[in-house]
Amino acid sequence: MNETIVFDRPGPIAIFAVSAEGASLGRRLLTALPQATLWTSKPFVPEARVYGESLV
Amino acid sequence: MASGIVVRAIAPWIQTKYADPAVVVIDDAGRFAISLLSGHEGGANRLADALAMYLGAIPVVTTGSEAQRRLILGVGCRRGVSAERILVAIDRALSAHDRRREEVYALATIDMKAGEPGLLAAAAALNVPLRIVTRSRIKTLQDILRQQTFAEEITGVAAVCIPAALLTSPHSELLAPMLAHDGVTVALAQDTCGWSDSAPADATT
Repeated sequence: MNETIVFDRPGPIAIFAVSAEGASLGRRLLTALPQATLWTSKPFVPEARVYGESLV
Repeated sequence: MASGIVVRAIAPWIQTKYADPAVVVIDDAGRFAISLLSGHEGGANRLADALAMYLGAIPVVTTGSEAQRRLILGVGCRRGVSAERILVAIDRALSAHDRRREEVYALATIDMKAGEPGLLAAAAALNVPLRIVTRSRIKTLQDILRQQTFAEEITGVAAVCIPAALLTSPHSELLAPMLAHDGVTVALAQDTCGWSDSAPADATT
C-alpha cells in the first residue's frame, strides 16, 4: 500500500511503543507517516530508536 | 499502548489546548485510534481518523462537536465530476431526509476513487475526511447482498452467517465462501488486527 497520511501541523511526529506488537504497528505507520520517528522500549524492530523502560 | 501509560507520561507536560501537541493513542492490536489531547487545535481528531482508516481501526473522538456528527455518506461518481456537482447531490440526499451538512461525519468511497479531485474537494468543503473502502470489501458485501436465498425467506435478511461473521468485528475479512451443509451455513471471517503485517488496510487521504 502506498498511501500516506497528511498531517499538516508543524513539528516532529513521534510514535512510541512499549511492546513487540506495538512496535510492529508503529512500523506499519511509518510507511504512511515517513516523517515520523519510531521509539520503542526495547529493540523490537530495526527501525526504532530505543528510549528504555520509562513508559510502563 | 494503554491509554493510562500515555496519560501518566504526558501529564507533567500538558499546558493549554493552544500549545499542546496532538496526542493519539492506539492499542497494540490496532483496534482503536483515540484522540487523547488537542483534538481540535492540535489536529488530534483528524490524525486519529486518518490513522484509524489506514489501520482499519475505529477512530475514537470525544470532543463535543464531532459527537453530534453521525452521518457517513457513501459516494460514487464518474471520473472528473466536479466538487460542485457532488455537493449538489449530497445536499439533495440530505434534504430528502431532512438532514444537514453539519451532521455529516465523513464521506466514503471506493479505493479506486481515493484520488478523485472532486471528491477530495467536496470533503474539504464539508470539512470532513474522505474515507476509503477497498474494492474487495465492497465486492464481498455485494456478493452477500446477492445471496437472496432461503435464508431471506425465513429470517427476512440474506445469508445470515456471512454478514454476522463480518459485522461482529469492524475489521474482519471473509476467509472462505459460505459453507452450507444439512441446513447449516458457516462463514469464516478473520479479525485482521492492525499490527499484523499481512492485514490489509483501507487507505486514507
